[in-house]
Amino acid sequence: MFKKVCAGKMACTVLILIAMVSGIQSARFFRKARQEAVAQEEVPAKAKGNPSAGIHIIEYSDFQCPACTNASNTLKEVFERHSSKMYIEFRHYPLPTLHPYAILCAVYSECAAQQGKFWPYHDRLFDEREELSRSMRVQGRLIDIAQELGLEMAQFRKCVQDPAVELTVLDEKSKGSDLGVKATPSYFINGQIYVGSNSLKKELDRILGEEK
Amino acid sequence: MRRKYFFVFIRVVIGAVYIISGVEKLLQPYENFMYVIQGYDMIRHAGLEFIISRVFPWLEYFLGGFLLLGLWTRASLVGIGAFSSVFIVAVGQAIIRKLPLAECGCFGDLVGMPLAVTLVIDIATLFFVILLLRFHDRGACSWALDRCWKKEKEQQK
Repeated sequence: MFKKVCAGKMACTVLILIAMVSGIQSARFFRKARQEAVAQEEVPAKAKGNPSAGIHIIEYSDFQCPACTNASNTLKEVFERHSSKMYIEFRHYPLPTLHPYAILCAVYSECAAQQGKFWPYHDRLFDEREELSRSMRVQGRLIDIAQELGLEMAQFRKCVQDPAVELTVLDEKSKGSDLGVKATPSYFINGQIYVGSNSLKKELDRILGEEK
Repeated sequence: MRRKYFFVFIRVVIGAVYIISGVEKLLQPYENFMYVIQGYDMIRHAGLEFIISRVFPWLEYFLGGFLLLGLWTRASLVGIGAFSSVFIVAVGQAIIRKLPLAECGCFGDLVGMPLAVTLVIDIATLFFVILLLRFHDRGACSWALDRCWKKEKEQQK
């Protein structure tokens, strides 16, 4: 009789475990379907490199995040050595609760992208991240950078005041979240997510090591 | 009588928190949780980080589910107590070492909590888990699935 009680409890446990695992797997299934739909959507590309290269990287980053600066430098170094083998797309993932100027920097870089100067602007934002974080006149400095890079200023000023640009940035972030991004920097290397500069470096070393 | 409702409430709340925490991590790519683990700078072994990032969320989810339903209540409480202790050590050392963690990463991007708040919550959880274990046979196990089998066993005796 005691064995019967135990068997009943075990059966109940197994049923609950099956129900719980099924719940998670179903949620994952629907989430994956959504991710595939998002991945196929056209995203305004801020890209560089060889589009037909074997290494396709999508970078989700925040211009005010210290870890993103390190990772961006790593990626830049690797890209300079292997530009023909790589294709890099940048996507915004600003975290304004942690970095108050993150959205502002993303909007300004988006306007630089409209004039074909995204990557130089991107590099300057990361180079000056610490100064910008401490600066009392961030917008002024962001305008100065645009001027130093030779952007057409009337168009640039008009662009940064356009609320649609901020919506584009937030939309890019929201699509990133749908794909599973929640921290910066996150990278999709040939479709597989890697979070943080250590993971990025390890994976790049592995891929490029194998290609040698 | 009031004590019984209090214990059930605490049990359900702790169970629900663990379920939410586990589900949030399980629906994200595991790499996100692995990044959180790396941030605490305690393990420094890629293989172990990988295993923990894959296994911990499932354990949180199952322990929370069992505690909420009151099935294997004592074992679930012991498991959750162990989890809370690990979290207290991890968060405590991060605070002492002043690691640059803006938030705990406990609930993915659902809730962002500073480390100090997380530490207080973990200590409170451990306290309530010990309380539930202490009063397991005196009301803490009310409205639990375990009661069904306990009654059956008592009737057989």
